[in-house]
Amino acid sequence: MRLLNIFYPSFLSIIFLSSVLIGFPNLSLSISHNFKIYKEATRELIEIDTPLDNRIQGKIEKDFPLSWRSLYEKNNPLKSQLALQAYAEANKRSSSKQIITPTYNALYDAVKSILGDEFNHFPEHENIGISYLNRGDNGYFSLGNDGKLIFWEESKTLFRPREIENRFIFFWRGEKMKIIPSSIPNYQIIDLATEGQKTILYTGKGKFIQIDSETDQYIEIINSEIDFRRVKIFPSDEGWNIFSKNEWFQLTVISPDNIVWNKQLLNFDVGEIIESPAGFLILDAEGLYELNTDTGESLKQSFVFKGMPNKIVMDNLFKTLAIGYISGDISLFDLSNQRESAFLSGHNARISALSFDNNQRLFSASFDKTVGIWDLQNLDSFPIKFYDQSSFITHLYFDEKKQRLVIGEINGTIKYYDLNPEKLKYLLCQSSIEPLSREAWSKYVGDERPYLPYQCEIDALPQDLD
Amino acid sequence: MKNPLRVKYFFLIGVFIFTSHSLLAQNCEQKLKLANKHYQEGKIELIIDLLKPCLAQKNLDKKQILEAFDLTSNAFYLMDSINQGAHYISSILNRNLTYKTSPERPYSFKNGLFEISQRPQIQFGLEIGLNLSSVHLDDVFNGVFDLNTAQTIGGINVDNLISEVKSEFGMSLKWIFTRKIRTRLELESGIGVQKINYNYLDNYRGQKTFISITDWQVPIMMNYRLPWLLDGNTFFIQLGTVLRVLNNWDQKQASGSILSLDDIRTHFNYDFALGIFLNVKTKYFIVRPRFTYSMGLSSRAEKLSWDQNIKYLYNSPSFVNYNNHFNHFSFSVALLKPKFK
Repeated sequence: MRLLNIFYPSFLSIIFLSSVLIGFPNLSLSISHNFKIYKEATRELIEIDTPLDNRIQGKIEKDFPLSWRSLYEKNNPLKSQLALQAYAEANKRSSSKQIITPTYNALYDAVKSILGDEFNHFPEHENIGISYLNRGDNGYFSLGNDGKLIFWEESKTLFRPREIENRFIFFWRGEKMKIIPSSIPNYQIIDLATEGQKTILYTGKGKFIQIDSETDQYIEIINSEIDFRRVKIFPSDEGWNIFSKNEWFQLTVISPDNIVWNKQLLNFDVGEIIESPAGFLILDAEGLYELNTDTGESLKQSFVFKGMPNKIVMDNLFKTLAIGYISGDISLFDLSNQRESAFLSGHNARISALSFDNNQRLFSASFDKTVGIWDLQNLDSFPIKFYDQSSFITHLYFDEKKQRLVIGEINGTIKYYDLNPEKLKYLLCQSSIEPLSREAWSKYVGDERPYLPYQCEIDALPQDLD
Repeated sequence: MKNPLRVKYFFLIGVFIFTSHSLLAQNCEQKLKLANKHYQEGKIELIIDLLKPCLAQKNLDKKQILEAFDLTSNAFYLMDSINQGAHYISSILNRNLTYKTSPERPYSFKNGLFEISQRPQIQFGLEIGLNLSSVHLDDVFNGVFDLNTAQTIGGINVDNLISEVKSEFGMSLKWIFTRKIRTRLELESGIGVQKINYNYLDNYRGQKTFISITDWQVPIMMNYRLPWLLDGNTFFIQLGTVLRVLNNWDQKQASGSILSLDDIRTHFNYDFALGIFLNVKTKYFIVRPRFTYSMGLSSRAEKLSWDQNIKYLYNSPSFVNYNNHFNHFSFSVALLKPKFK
């Protein structure tokens, strides 16, 4: 008994210590297991040297062999030749000019390898981040988190950056008015909104600057009640609707000395907010509310969510509402009965931006660093996906006229995708890509088909949609 | 029998504590790896709950704790929870003032780290300084003499009883406390002591002599952070007052007895002070070199009656009888511990 008393604690301590030394397998089993799965998945991806989704790789290899070969071909011009041949084959198979992921990705990848990784980049905000992205007249506005406002002026296939600065600011404080030289980048512009000739900038701590682009005059407006880092601004008939936390301000600037503010408290916090037929749809942690701007009343909506909602967007006809969840899934709701009409599962991390176009397509961006394009008339087909992002996507703007998708990443990279593959083909053909050689034809297409390689013709640059 | 049993149980408890701590630390290391993986995959909402227990129990080493705070803060920033993100940045800076994050982190986090590092909520520490003062003699003997009738004492011109007032370097030591009150504004106070030797020529006695003056000081300053940086370090200007309380200032009289000057001097004096300083960040402390000018705004000579003036004047016409003002130029270096909230 005495012997047991001495050895029992020693025995227990040996068990404990040995468990520590060997890593106490039972306790950390679940985590190790998760890591194992992750490592295996990563290894598979590394082997094929592409970030493409595993689920669709087999299908692409089988149905789009030339695109597949082009994507993994390192050497140019073979890569470009295969991409052009794949595009020509796809056009033969389908009269529709709708883009197909593998063919588009092969063309895009080939253009990138010829013109360089940054051929479609707007590089001025890198490592800074973007707080605003929108279309201007013949170009795009981008606002960096550092307050730098750039206009990207389009010229054929290039974009020239033009920093907006050295303006005169029309200051108004109380009864005094003066014009002093200043420049917009001196302000930390946090948000901006435009309507017609008027633009309003929010520079933080309740300070706004309204710019009249015709007269080039600026009015400084201060409201000390809005002392928040973030606000959301929308144009209204008379001026601007400004939301901050649980407050709704209506700002009307009649003249520098006649500025009218109206304020209304909301009984919920403003998270995501979009315009709706009656006013605004506002998402907070509790649910979705509709604010009627005529009556000032807000009503909780009866949508049933399948997760934690993060982003909302409504189509241009106000018929469908898309809700993006933090899980990466998307619900489409029919606004006539507030019922879910579709559930889209294609992203692996939170939805960070959503946008509809006029052609029944939904664009989704996610923190999984991919962009999805969903054909809402054919939801069974897998979404077109772009994988070329290096960091979390925060902004997405679809330019209907140009059929161009502009994407902003959290690291400040802005890049555009011309969704019309003809533009990519044009860029490749501009680079004097020869047709596939007979030898390459035998290897990649096969001798069972007659040797008819795609011949580049230098067409005019494809025109924009009207 | 009792004692060996007790030893045995204590031993068992010790082993259990040791092993469980090791296990938790190991578990937290794995959680940190998993949190990094979640971050790379964009599953940021999973990071916070995963790392919370590890940060609460402090089962990670210093480097890992900073990494965990970094990840948690970034997750909050990415979810637009700026205040919570800022809270974790404060936790990072309280552990490492010169913390450098990955350049690939979001701008909002990097900017938050940069901005918050420039404005600690409070700072406290010690300051040591060198002081060179310049004495300005305003008037003589509180106007007791009618200059038309009594301009000399024993044949010596009363306007020139003391001359060649010089100061040697004085030393000061202060305990400083600053508190942020606005983004760029800080309130500074503290308590300190300053001792300076003054050499002067006593014409009445016809000899050189010196006097040592010790002040207790309470600065009340407003510090304003200038918009310029020097290699990431902040510049400030400061403006305010320094309240000075004079130690008892005894002086040997001509008769040989000691005159307590409590009777003829006020102990209280206040200065107008203007300073400029640089906050140099090191890993754990802020080193603050500062240059200050301060000007005495109140006299230390009391209003005395005619009889008192005559008494003190004839007994001890010296430095202390003058209505004098002190201008101080000081250079000091403070070592401050900042706290971020």
